[in-house]
Amino acid sequence: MTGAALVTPSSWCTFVVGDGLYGIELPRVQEVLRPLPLTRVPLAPPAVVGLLNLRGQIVPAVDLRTLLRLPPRDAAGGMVVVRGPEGPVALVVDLDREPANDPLFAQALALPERLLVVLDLDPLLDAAFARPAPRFPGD
Amino acid sequence: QQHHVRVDVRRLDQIMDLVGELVLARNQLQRTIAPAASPLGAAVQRVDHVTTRLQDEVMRARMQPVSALWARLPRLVRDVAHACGKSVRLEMEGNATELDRTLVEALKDPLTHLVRNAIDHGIETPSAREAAGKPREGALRLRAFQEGGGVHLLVSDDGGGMSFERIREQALARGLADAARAERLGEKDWLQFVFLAGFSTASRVTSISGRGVGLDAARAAIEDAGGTIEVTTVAGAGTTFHIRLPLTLAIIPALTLEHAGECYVIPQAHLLELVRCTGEAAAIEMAHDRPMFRLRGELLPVVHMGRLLGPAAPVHAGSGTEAGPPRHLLVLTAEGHRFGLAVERVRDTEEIVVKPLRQRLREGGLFAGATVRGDGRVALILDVLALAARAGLDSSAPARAAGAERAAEPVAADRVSLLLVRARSGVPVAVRVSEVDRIVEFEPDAFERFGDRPAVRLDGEVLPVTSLAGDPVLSSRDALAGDRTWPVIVHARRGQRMGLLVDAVEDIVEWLEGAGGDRIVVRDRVTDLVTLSEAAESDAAGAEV
Repeated sequence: MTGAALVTPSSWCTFVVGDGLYGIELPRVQEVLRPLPLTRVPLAPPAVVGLLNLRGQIVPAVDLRTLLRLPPRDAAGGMVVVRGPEGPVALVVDLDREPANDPLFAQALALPERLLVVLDLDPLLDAAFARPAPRFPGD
Repeated sequence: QQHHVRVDVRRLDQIMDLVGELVLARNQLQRTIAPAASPLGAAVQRVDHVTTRLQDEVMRARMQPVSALWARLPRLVRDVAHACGKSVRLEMEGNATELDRTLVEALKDPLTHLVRNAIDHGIETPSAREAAGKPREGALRLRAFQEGGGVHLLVSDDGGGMSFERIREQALARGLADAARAERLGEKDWLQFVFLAGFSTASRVTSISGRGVGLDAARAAIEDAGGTIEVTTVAGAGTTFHIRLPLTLAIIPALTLEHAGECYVIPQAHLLELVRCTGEAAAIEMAHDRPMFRLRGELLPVVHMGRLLGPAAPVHAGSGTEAGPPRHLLVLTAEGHRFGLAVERVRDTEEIVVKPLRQRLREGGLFAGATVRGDGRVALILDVLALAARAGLDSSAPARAAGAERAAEPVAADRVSLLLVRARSGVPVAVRVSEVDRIVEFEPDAFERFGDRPAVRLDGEVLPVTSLAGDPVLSSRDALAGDRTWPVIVHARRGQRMGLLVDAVEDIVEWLEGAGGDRIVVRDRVTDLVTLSEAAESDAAGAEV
């Protein structure tokens, strides 16, 4: 978001994916979850790894590793549920961090070599749900 | 009236979601705590009771009387009639029939189309009506009622009816049916063409309708809402559109199947039959490079669940849940087509709460929605119309699948109405409505013996009464004891009127003739389909001995 410079540091929810520390504007974050069981969606875009039941609401899960072209992980560390334009989306991350009282977060700002990458959510979700040319293995 | 408040449907949906969660939590509680007489067990039972009632009440809050849908119609009818120079009387029946408010929304446009169509094309001008010996004023009749777990809406006009000849000409002219196939199509098949996009038999285009848009859109909207639409017409006497809808969009009965470790559900409304194909790999054969299944002489196109959904996810590989060979074939129906879906495992039938799936995930075209299963996990709802398309059933050519790919011995796939009755032995039995003359209720002492046969008097005649095979013998009157009346199905056999004694008449359902042979599954129950002209034979013979 272009307004990133105007918001205060506490406005990001941060998490780790691979070697990187990433953040998403706090107002776009609905909640942070432990990994929940996923239901695979056949023929879905590769980054959409499944659907989860969030208190009765069906929420798609998007793997940030796939989106960021990182090798697959052993096990999901956590899920960051963000508010997308079409409803909530769970981002599967390696390790989530609470925005408040997070020492690493402060460190990241203090240490110039530790870069906090602020993710621009809308193009990110757009990429996640983008569909290559439709293809049906049944053909 | 002042006791009503307006509530956003989304809020009701949220409450419904939360109630659904409560149901899951309750189920967990019940599993964890033994239902003993302990105080905790009693509390869990109360939670159970309250949850069930809460769910029921929330469902009811979603219902709206059909009059909410009809409120705009008198004005619409007046305006359209005026614009067409016709005189139309609107009759509405069943105002209080309740349906899900999301269905009310979904039906608004289709109903408008049907009403416009009926006035513009159905009902004739006052002078034409007079010439045909009808009252100058045409009648447009709307009827709504609840029956058999669904809502029925009928839109009838007393106009000129649709011309099969005209539909036939149009279909042939547009290349929708070739001459060879045209031979085999019955009147009902031809009527299906009116639901195709761009199809119009109107001889002139007006500003109201006749541009070939409308009926296809109406059908799409109704099918999206989980309903079906059918048309019947009588030349010179009018046309009736019959819309069948689920009682609610939110909860539908569905069949759960398993594929590669994941559960999928199929709305029960689309399921005609379940066929086991154990060890008969030959049952699925190839015809025109497409897998086909031979079911009682008819070739059904088959879709393989495995090929449709692609290989199992890597997570499941090696975990013993890979797709096995298909063991069941679901015979499904969509838009009047029948096709088979070969699946690995069928689990159970249950009522599911339908949840929307976001547009981007529906674009793949195979899933209509999702639901949360009893264990809290998500299951995808298969879109049967999309599956039909994958089976090579192009919805723009409805007759092709029904006609062109039949096996040598053609089996009629006409829809017939079946009367569901309960035999005195308690088993469900179906008879064709077309064979039924009428149904008359008799007091127990009306049953007498004439010669060696039980019989009743009807219209001053003696009507021999037979029973279904397996029923108790009707030898003495105390077989029919009790403070109740007994329904007798009056029918004709070899020119003679006969009565068939049953325990109760339950319902009338639509059925595809030929689907299922003598033993069919109606509403989850295996039901014997009895041909009245043959069925009473053995019993009558037995009575004569």
